[in-house]
Amino acid sequence: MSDHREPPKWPDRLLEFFVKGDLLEEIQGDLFEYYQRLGDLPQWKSTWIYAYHVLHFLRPFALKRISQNSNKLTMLKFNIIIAWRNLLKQKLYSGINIIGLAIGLASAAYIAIYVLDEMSFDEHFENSDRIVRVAAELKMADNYWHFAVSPAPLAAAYKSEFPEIEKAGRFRNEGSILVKKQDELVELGGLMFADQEILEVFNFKLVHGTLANALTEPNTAVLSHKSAQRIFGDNDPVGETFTSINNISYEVSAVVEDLPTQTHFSFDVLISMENYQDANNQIWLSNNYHTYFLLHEGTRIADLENKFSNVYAKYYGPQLQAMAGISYEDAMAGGGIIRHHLQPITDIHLTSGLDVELGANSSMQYIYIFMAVGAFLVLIAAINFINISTARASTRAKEIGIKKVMGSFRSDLITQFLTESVFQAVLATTIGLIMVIVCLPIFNAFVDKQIVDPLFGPSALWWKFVLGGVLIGLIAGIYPAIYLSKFKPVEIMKNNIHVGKSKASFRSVLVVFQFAISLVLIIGTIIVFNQLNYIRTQNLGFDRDKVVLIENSNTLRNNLVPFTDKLNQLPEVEAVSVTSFIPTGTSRSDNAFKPKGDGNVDATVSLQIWNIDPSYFDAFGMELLEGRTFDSSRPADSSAIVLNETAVRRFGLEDPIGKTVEVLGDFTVAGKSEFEVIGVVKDFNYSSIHENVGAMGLYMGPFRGYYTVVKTTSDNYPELLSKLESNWEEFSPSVPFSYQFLDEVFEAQYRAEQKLGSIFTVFTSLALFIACLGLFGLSAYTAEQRRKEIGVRKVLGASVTRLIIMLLGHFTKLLIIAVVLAIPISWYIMSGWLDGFAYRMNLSPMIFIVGSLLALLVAWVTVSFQSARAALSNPTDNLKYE
Amino acid sequence: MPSVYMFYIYEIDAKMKGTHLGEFEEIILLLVGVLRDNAYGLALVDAFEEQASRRVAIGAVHSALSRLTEKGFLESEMTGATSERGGRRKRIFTITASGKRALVNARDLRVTLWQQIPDLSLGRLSFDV
Repeated sequence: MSDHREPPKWPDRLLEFFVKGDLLEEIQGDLFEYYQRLGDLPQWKSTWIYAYHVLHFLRPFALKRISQNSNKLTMLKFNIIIAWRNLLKQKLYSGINIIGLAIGLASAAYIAIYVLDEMSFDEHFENSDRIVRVAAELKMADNYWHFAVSPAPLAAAYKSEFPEIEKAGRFRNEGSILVKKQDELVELGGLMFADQEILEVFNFKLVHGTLANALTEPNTAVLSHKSAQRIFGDNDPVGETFTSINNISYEVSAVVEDLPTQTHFSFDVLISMENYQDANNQIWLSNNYHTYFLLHEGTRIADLENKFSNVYAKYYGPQLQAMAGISYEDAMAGGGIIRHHLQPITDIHLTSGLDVELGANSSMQYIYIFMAVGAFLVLIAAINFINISTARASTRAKEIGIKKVMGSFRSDLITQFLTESVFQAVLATTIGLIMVIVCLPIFNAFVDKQIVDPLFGPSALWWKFVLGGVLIGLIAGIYPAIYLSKFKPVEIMKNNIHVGKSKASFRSVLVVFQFAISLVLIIGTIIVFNQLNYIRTQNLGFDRDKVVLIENSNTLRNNLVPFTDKLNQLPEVEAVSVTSFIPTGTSRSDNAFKPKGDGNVDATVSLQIWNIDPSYFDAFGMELLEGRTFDSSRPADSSAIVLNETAVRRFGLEDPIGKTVEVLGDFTVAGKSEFEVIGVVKDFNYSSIHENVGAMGLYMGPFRGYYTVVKTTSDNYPELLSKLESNWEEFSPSVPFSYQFLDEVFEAQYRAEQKLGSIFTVFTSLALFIACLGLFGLSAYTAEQRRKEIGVRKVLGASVTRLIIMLLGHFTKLLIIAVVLAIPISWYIMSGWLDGFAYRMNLSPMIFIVGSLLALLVAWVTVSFQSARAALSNPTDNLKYE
Repeated sequence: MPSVYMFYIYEIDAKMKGTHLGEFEEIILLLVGVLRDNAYGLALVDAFEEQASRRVAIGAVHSALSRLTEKGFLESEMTGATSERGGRRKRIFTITASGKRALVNARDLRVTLWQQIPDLSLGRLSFDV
């Protein structure tokens, strides 16, 4: 045989695997003979041809007959038939299993979809793995900052300093811009000034034009597709110009695709940084720019960050000396921090959460919470499965006994029960998949996302989902399978085995576990809602009610004074103030101050320094503790300042009124370098409830601002708004009237927490529902088991109430154990969550009591349903049964 | 049409399902006759490729042979293990009586149909036989 070439092994094996036994020899013979003729060809080619012919035998005639050749397959077919019959025979229990598992799996799938979406942020950029943002951590004297912005000169300086940086560019976020479109004005919400290089860092996808040199010249702009359509319609606008309300014209050099919602920033229009004069400043102590780098391939971020520390002294040193009078070395030795670090953009959405982000971030904490909730839901459903299967064991005992007597191996029985559970799990998975598809629009509306095809789309979640379902079927089935197959046939036949009862304690543990989880979720939900309510009702030092914010007031220019005068004459208007600074978290303006004449650098205090007008405190209902507010008739008040309590404390001013504070270094605020303190305002929370109030100074700069703040006494908002609108139109015919209510702006800050609250509610309800399904099944089973006992008791004179109490008693014991377990766990977890708030509610025992009672009540209702039915039934029916 | 012909169809139908002889099957069946004692899978593949000038997968031929056996047109026997086949025997096919009958019927049908085409139209149709 040495002169014959052996055909390749693997196609031959394949052939042996699928070809019918009686055909195998001649087929292999023919193929062998055929293969000899391929001798001249290279090995790979002959193998390929051989495999081609082998695969051509994948035809019905040649395949092994399932029922004919494989005992295992026959049994599988048979087991599936038995599984189906059992399912139909026990409709209640199978229904509970399948529906519970389907809901659990569908919820878990939704959570997976949500989490995957959250984790896919910023991955859509071409080089997303190489793009990083610079974040700055600074500490000077007692002032600490950690924010997403960095100094203006950093991008260029670091790029020339470190060869690892391929490209470096900056954004300067500027809020919004009003653009003229024929007679009307269009407001583009997301205006950013941008370097040409930032286009190359992100390499935005184009609709029209080109990114090359798109922003190198002044008065050039890149539009998002959406805003291009708003201004120019569907035409290609490249080369066209648009004009802002300030009569500056910009030429459109490119239109880029709208950024997907999975991006940590967004923009409607990018205007060349050449138009932003401040961009060329060389001040390292001022941080206003979002800086992004594109790193060369293979750069290790940690290595690059380490190199940064070599240049801090070079850039910061001279300016620290000049402005604060302290050397870099002394500043660092005195506990100061200057640190720039790099954040991979794909991590920003979930892990950054710094000050001055370009958009709201989420948090990894929430992702973990959701993942845990998803796992719990599946777990609760799987426990139902285990519990009901073991409880129902007695009904299967005879079947098992007979099978064993007839010579069935234990492994066969295990296979049978596993088949049954996998069969049910696959059914549940299918139903779950359908639920996911059907409810997708509701889900999208709920979580505020636009997920189109999560299951069969690029993430191909469906097969993981099916695989997960099968695995759960196997895992949930393995315990009942091993347990059931263990029965001794003799004892079963003699009918003296207490099947199902011996494992009651195990079931009880699982029920306790289920309810403990549900309880933790319930208590968690209650706490989330209480905390949100607490925030809402907090006295934050200003009055949110009945305050209307009229936007775009800056466009009124010379009409601003007559407009506000006119509003002041309205009877229902209590106060009118014009400002750009409102205390709802979005307004920021830092500047470093120190008491005049104090040479000590440590006396420096970073103030939020806000430009307001005399009626600001009235409009926001803020309380002046000492001194007075501004008076526009006193010229000296243009260099006066009102501090908040924290600022007074930080400056260490004993008797603040009449003292003077000065701006650190060569900076000025509204052209002034020193301010006289004329008043002290009670601390009001100006940022987020997550943070404590910082030091703040308010001054009376030029009378202008984005908002006209109207405090009203009226409850008739439609009438008030129409009055405001008609006055607005009188003075500003071209700019549309737009307004917000302060309390709504305030609420919007806590959207993430509110979303968390509502998502929690839904999944908690589902968890409780699935757990109750299981309890329902178990109680039905228990009631059925004790039918005879109930009958006898009834005949002997037991009352219905007593019987129900008796049946409830067992479950109540379990539920109380669950309560005892759940309270400390939920207390621990939720106080961790609450620690993230500067303003946190107290965890009163009432919350735990209410939560526990709620769960107990639902569970009791579930159990009594079955118990009552058993207790009310006619004893004769129960006793003649069997 | 002769009634006898109808009878055959009926008889075969009653015995087995699907005794229709496809074009490929018919050629394979004929080739079994041509090759006589050497009518086994691979030889049939070669003969088919040679006579019909068409490539065919080995599996396709085996499939046809299996169908023809099921229909009762072929019977087979395992013989002749050779070293070219890695010591495996080959299955030699022979045509059964009903196989022959099916071939005759197929041929008769064609002949009948051919005869029904008038000479004139034959010319017009321009068969180049």
